Amino acid sequence: MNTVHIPPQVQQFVAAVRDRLTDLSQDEREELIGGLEADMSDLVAERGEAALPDPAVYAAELRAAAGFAAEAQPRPNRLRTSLADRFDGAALTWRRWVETGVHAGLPALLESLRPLWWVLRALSATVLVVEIFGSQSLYGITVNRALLAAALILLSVQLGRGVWWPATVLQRSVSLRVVLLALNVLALALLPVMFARLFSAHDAYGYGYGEPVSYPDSSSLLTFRGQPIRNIYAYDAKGQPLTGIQLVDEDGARLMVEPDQYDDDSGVERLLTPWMNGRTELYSVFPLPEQPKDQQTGDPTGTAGLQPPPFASLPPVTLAGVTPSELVGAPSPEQNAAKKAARKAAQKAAQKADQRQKARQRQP
Amino acid sequence: MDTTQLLKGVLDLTVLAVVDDEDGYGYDIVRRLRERGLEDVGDASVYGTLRRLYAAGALTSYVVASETGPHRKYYGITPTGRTQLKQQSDDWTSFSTTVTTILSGAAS
Repeated sequence: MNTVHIPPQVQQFVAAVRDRLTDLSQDEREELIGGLEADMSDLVAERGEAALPDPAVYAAELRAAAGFAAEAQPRPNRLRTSLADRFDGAALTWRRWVETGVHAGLPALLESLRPLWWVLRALSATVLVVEIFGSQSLYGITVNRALLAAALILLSVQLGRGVWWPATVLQRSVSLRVVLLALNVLALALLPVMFARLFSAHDAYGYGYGEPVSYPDSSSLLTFRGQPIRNIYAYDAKGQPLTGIQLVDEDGARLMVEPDQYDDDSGVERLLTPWMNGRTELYSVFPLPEQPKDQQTGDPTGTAGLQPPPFASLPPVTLAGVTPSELVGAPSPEQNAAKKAARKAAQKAAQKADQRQKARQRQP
Repeated sequence: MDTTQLLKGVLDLTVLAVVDDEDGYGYDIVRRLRERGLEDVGDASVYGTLRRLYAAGALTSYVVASETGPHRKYYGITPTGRTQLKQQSDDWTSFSTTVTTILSGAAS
């Protein structure tokens, strides 16, 4: 009796039998399964679907008759089990080694250094994230390196202490342990890169290392679309440029820019000259005079001066019910003369700005 | 007496004998064994036995493609298989004679 098609029940049956032969080699398995569909189709055609035996019993009988051992664990489980055993074994070996006392000094030292490793691997991860995402925004959030580093250090330390990753979960999941091992190896491999980034270019990367105490770290400086703001040019409601405006945020904190500027496009480094309040240097008064740096020595060259604003004027603006601030004193077009005597102008402007500050803050 | 235990001992022999008569595919061989009286023989046991005999070189196999259905795997006997069949047949005859003799003695 020849069948011309394979009934679905037979296909399911054969698949179920095949599942119980996964520990055999493919040749062995196909040798056992080969022709089974045809034979079982004949069986069903002759005696009906009810004649199909239980796949598990059938597979066991097939294996026994063919001279294979009874069904072992499915292969993936064996792999997992053996991997888990290896991890456990390695951990046990390590613990024994530590406890023997023969190597008492070294293991204790290494144990003590573990927290250092937790911090280092977090810094590696920070460098990796910054390398991948640059200073672009990450899901709309500006990658703030100092914050990122702090968060990753916290995560790394908590993982290391087993606080956020209970050892029981870790012990059960081989995949998690493999991932953790891989991450640690990756962090280790990234260490040289991390050190190079941290210590050769801390200004550009801004981890907050080695910067003068008087400046806040770059993470709290002004940025726009993830890029640090170099200078600010203000215009009044009539569209005329303003010199010497003082900017504070809603909490009254002064808005500052990084005193050392690096122009990615031209490769020119610039030093910003602060406005003064008595002897206090202020980087929150704008525009800030700029001074190019010598590319060899890094020393400022020439004299500090205000750069021309990007626009001579802007279109005038209005807001219903609001009276814009009016300039008092010298007309604004002449303010460009401040280039030559930036510091003197700065002091005067700062005083004027002080008087008008409250009114300005209310402006949109 | 549970005949499955007896079957196990003679499965190789009977399968070889059936295939020696004529090449056949798995279910065909099962059916022939049943037709000749081994009604309790299990499909899987026969297929497994075929596979083991094939691996041992006692059987050869070839696939007969079907235009519309699944292909059939046919088994045929090899010279090694014939030698084995002859040997095991002799053993069986001798053994069963011995057992029969013992049983007739016990009965009388």
